[in-house]
Amino acid sequence: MNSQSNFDAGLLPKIVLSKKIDDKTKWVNSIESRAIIYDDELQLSYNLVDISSILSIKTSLNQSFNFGYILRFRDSEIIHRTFQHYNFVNQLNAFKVGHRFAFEQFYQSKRQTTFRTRYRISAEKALNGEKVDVKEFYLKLGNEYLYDFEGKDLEVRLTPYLGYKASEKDRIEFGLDYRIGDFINNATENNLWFRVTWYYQL
Amino acid sequence: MMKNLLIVSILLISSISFSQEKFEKEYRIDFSEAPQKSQQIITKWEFPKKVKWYAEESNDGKTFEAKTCFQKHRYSIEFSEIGNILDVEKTVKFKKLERNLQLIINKALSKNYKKFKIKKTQIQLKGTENELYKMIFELKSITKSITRNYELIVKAKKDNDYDLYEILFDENGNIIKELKFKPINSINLEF
Repeated sequence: MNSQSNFDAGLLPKIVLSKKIDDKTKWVNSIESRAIIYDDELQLSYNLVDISSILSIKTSLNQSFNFGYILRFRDSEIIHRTFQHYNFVNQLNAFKVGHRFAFEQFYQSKRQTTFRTRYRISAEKALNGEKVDVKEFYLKLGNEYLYDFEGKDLEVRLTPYLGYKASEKDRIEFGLDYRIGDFINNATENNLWFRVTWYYQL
Repeated sequence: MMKNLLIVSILLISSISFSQEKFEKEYRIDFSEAPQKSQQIITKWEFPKKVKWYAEESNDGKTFEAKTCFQKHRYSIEFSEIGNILDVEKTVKFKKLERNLQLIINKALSKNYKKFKIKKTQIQLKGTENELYKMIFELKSITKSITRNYELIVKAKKDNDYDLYEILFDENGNIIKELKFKPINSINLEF
């Protein structure tokens, strides 16, 4: 089989707003858009918008279950997605490590429901000292594996970010999101996204 | 008149809430930025492994910490702003404490919490520079001039939920201080 390679690059700005409902529950809403700046040639095109709403339930000091819904607007189509996450975060001496196990269901009109599973590990390390204080920078590195049951294929993501904790309630992260898709089918697809994410606690 | 009173009240309330806000910041520093007296002590003590220096600023003032590993234990030596030694903390395994002390601590924890799990144990030593040196480098066994406390990080359940606590025990196993940790915010590792 001939292997072919495809490369896209673009911008992924995202805003994550969270609101504490009680000690164990929070409501997290986000909006993310995608603009392509390179697709075989240099061009700027607006690609999609994701709007999500998640109910996050803390089950222990460092564990949580999230139940969410994403509405994806891509060209003229709308894709509905539901997902369930299980998270746990370990606080080590000088850094924090977070694990996320996810299961996703995609619903689209005139198409069969498809499923995807994913696992992500991320680590956060203060650039100065052992913990991230207010008005301090930090590094966040992530590695994620996504398996699509329909396409029977694997996608791998590498995400190095530089973060800044502006206050106890908000932080901003800049970085790259490098995705290698179609791993198993050998039709490697490379995507490089420049990400900016703003987290704000209401 | 009422308007003025209202303005004064708002200013007063906002200044109170501002002054009550907890401020804490810790950061790495170079050896040369630590107080001279603390530099001299650590140089004299000659730890074989690299010593990392930190400064910690909070509402209570500024302190300095020298951290290193020695004989498979993590040590943290805390100094005042002018470089006087405040205490030495040595991380150990809870099971390495004296059997009797373990029993007393476990009993005290069982009395205060429904369930608990000890996550970290540190022996806190307070004394003169000379006494502490002898203790760390095992030139002398425990003396009366050194105060020995035990600082434990415990995941514990008081009512229905688990929380993380920092609990300080004296050498007889009595609780001296209990501090509940603020929950860790890891939103950026979850979403």
